Amino acid sequence: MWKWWLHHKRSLRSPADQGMSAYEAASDPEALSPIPADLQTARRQVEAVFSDCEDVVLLEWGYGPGLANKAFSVYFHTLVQTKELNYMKASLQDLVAHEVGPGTTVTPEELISFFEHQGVSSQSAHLVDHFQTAVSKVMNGNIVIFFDGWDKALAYYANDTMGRQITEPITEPVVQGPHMSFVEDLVKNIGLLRGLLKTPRLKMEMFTVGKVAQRDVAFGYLEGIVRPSVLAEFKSRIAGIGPEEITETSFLEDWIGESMYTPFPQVRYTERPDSVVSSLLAGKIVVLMSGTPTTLICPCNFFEFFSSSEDFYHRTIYSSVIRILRMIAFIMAFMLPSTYIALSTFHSELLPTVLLLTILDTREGIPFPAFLEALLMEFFFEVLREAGIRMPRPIGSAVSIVGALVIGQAAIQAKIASPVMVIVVALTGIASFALPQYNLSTAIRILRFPLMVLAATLGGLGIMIGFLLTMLHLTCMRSLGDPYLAPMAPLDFKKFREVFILPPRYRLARSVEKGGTADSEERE
Amino acid sequence: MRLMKIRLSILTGIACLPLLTGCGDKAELTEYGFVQAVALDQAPDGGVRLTTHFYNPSSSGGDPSVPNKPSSKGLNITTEDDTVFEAIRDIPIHFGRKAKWDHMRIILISEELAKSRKVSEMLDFFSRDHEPRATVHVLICKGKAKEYLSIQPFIEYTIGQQLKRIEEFVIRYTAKTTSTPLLDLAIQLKNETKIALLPYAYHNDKNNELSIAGTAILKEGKLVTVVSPTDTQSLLMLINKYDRGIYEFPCTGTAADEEHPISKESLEVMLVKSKAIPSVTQDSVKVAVHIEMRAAVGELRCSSLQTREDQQAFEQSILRTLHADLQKFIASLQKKQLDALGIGNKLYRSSPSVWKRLKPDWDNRFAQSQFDIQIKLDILNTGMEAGTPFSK
Repeated sequence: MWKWWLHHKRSLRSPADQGMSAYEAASDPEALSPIPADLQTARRQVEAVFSDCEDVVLLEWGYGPGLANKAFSVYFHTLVQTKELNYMKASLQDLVAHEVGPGTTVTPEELISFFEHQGVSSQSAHLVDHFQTAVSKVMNGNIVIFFDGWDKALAYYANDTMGRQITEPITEPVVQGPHMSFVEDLVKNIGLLRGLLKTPRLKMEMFTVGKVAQRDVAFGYLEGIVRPSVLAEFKSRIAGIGPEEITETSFLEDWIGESMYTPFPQVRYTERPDSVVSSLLAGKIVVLMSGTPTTLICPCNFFEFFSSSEDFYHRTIYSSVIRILRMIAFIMAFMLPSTYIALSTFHSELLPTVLLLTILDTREGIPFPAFLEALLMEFFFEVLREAGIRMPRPIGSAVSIVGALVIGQAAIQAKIASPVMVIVVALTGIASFALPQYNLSTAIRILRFPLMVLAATLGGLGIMIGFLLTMLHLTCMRSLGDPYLAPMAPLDFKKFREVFILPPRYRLARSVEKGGTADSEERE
Repeated sequence: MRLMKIRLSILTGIACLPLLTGCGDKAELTEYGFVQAVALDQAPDGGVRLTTHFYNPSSSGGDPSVPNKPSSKGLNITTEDDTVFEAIRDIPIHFGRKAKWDHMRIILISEELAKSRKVSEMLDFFSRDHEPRATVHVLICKGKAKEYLSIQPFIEYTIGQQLKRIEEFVIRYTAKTTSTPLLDLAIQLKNETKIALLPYAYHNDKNNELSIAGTAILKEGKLVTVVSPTDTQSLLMLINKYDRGIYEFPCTGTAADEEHPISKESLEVMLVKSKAIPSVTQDSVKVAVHIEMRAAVGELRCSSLQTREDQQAFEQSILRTLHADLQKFIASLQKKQLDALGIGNKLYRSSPSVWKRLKPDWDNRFAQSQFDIQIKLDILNTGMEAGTPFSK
């Protein structure tokens, strides 16, 4: 039996390995081919690549004496604004006239030598050596010009697709603090960051992912504050990315994260530039991607999920109390239904007498055992929640009204559920909404159910077992090599205290600057 | 292979976890009947008649539109057997639910049963079984204990709860009864003098009211006598269990005549600390009692406290009355040869050898022992009024 299993496992693993190598073998040779010097060949190649792309524009034009020399430009009119196009053409003409004489006299040789020696130009032109690069330039919203008799092409950046304006963060609104969020445009996002962190120590390394979609990914860190070991680990993990089609930053979690089958998140997401900045200052690495405002922050320990960017904008004492409140909410969202099940089916002696009598009043005549009742109500609640999220906004409120009636009043009056159970389920739901990081609340949303099963079968002992296993799991977890339960296990009492009680800001600022650099030096 | 081993051991570990011991037995709340009070009576054939008071959940399902009728909040099941446990196991015969004893509030024992049988024998089950708590209160009651459980509670959920509340508040504010949880009772029954104090309940047949006041004194597990509520105050003062209460004393200066029967004034006693130190010379026992009392004027009718002298006279008069009250109470105990003050226990603790010698004849020695009472009274204030009676 075991032998079979081992064999099965081995055979499962091997095709994947083969797949990897097959891909590498296929992708390498076709990588780069030079641009043909003959304009007609080039045009044919371009037409072949962009066949059936009816939004592509191929514009042929002549220059030099008697307009005898031919060139043609390629661009997508869906990516390039007409205004930009005209401006480019005009400026090219201007430039040629200014540098090498009138447009009618410019010779291809003069033009080539001008661009190859990087003559001054009011427009930023890139020289492209390879045909594939030229194609990807076109796809990125460049205007690419091929010249007859030159094995290079000129690319002008003229992308002007419409993007969303910078708006209030929808998923992380704050009362106090900046009200701007990232948008889908990577360039704008990095610009926002640079505007908030004016130091050359903010490094932004970029690479492209996806064989087809070719999306830009950028990761940033503050040199001198980020720990080199963490950065090296991060780089070694993302080195594996390349051909996979990635459409959102959350895909990257699979590469950066340590264990894929844990419900607990190992990276944090935000769409707020200010929380990205404070993460960078705390020595984190952030990953941005074109086409999404969601920014990934790593490494992350468990207790960071209890902090919100707004914590730093309020008075210390308030933020500390709120943070403790969130932790209580976490425990409630995780354990409240199972505690109720355990108390009512195993340990009724633990309830104060008057409370027990009140619960007895409500429980009498309910046809289901407490566990089934809890499961049923939790299930209804989860369905309601899911429906509420996916519904178009105008219908959403109708769902919540009907749902509240179904779960609340009607279920009680029909004696399907007891009012105490409704309170428990509602409190659990509200408690899970109180967590500032959505991905943590999804984790406990899942873990709640096994804990309920344990509570229903083994009572308080079951909850203890569930809790210990969860703790064991959390203690074993790492995020980019850092222990997940960081200040608690391994215990650093000073930092652990700061998890609950935020130190005054002047001390916090000092520790970021000093601690970050000192730490990194130590480790080196 | 090593990884396999680790995984295997983790799996085995997880598989073993459910084998750990825990306490608790799975049962839905609706499978139990929750016992609120128990009454023990003498059965005609010499056995025990056990009346168990269960909580009766209202079947409104918590719907506020259906008012809960208080009459439906409790139900009594009576079973008779030779032993308490057998009687308890007979409950499902009549009831159809298992009795759950965790939330029992009170155990009522009828005076009749307490006089004829040892209370400790009756309570053995409640102490031995794991469900009832050691904090459950035990009461001795006048008449049939069963009848107390048919009385409707005023506000509380059940009569058991009401009895417990009455006991708590009587002790806290009037000091007219003692409080004896099961554990304390067990300790008292085992101590050297074998004397235990239990609160005493009685009820008025006419208007279905019940009261807890007074103290039942048990000797060697059997009821001997009942101390009146007023005397209970003296008792509690002497054994240092007085919490708060009202002390009444007759008017100072004026003697009672025909027109004015004895008018009384009262003190609000806020703190009583007492210490009884027995000493033995030859075969005679002397007990020095030191009482420190802190009080405020509660009610003035005839005394006027204008000057320092007035107040001293006032205090002196109270001290005289209190002293007399205490001496009178001790004398009554001595007459019954009941060491309810625990002097014997104190002797046993301080000088065991002496106690060994005195123990066989202790009741007699207690009756002949001398008590020297020293009281220190501290009157803190005269309330919201000055030191003149409202009536003057």
